[in-house]
Amino acid sequence: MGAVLPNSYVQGILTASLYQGSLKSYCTPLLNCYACPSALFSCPIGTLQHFMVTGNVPFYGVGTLSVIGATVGRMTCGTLCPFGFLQDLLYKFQSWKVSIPAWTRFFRYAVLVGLVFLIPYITHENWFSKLCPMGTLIGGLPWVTMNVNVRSMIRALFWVKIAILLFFVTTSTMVKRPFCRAICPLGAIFSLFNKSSFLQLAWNPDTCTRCGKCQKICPVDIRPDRNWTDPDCLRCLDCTRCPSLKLTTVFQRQPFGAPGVPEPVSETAR
Amino acid sequence: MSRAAAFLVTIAASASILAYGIFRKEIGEVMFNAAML
Repeated sequence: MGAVLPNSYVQGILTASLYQGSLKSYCTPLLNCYACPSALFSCPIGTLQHFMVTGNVPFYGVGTLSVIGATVGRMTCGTLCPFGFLQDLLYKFQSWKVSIPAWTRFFRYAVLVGLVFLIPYITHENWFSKLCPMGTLIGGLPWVTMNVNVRSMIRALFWVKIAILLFFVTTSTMVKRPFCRAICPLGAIFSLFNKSSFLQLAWNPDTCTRCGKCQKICPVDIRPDRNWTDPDCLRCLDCTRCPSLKLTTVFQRQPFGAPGVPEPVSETAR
Repeated sequence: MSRAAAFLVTIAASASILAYGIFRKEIGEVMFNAAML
């Protein structure tokens, strides 16, 4: 759904043109290249960079992302992001599997501060967008395929972008969502809100057996039973298949009922 | 500070930043940027 809805301008693919209507004023809560011929909305990271390049504070972009983050945390990463979905599919390939240490998450904050804010402000160039593998996949490659003029403009940077995309495609078959966990600046912004967002994950210590199955099914390899407000948590809700974890709101004090008191059985369950 | 209070403070601050961005007519700038790609 995250891949289809923001990229449903079919005319752009048919006529090799960009949508320039009023919807492009709004940012998607996803890493979705707005140079893609079928893109209807703007990329939030591209928007932030544009304001830094022009030397302005991006109040609209930061405000939009903050409102979304404060409401759902990283849920859009877990449920809508097309690049995250691609990484999930690639991980299903039979290959050598490795886990990456938790400290790699700090790279994404460095990418956010460096490539999205500081370097574009200093150099007046959108450096994250120039290197973004999602941009290469849905923006760069379609244009190079469809337009001869664009093909004649290929320089060394294009091959660097292809190498970065291939690196993440390859590592995604071995590591769970490497780009989301270590690089994605949008995930870095949303992860700041995981602890205090309206939607929260709740864990029930009374019923949890610490079997670790939640970590096995987690797309970012975390233990929700140890830290259910982990900044890495994508709120994909896969772990809520276990009855000890469920989605709740920040205002619900006892999401599993009072301790020691079983939840009421509904009429249909009787 | 409880999580509920933290959420209320965060959403109020976020909405204020967004409203200020809209007030500064940054939406037009976003559209201009998208059109210049």
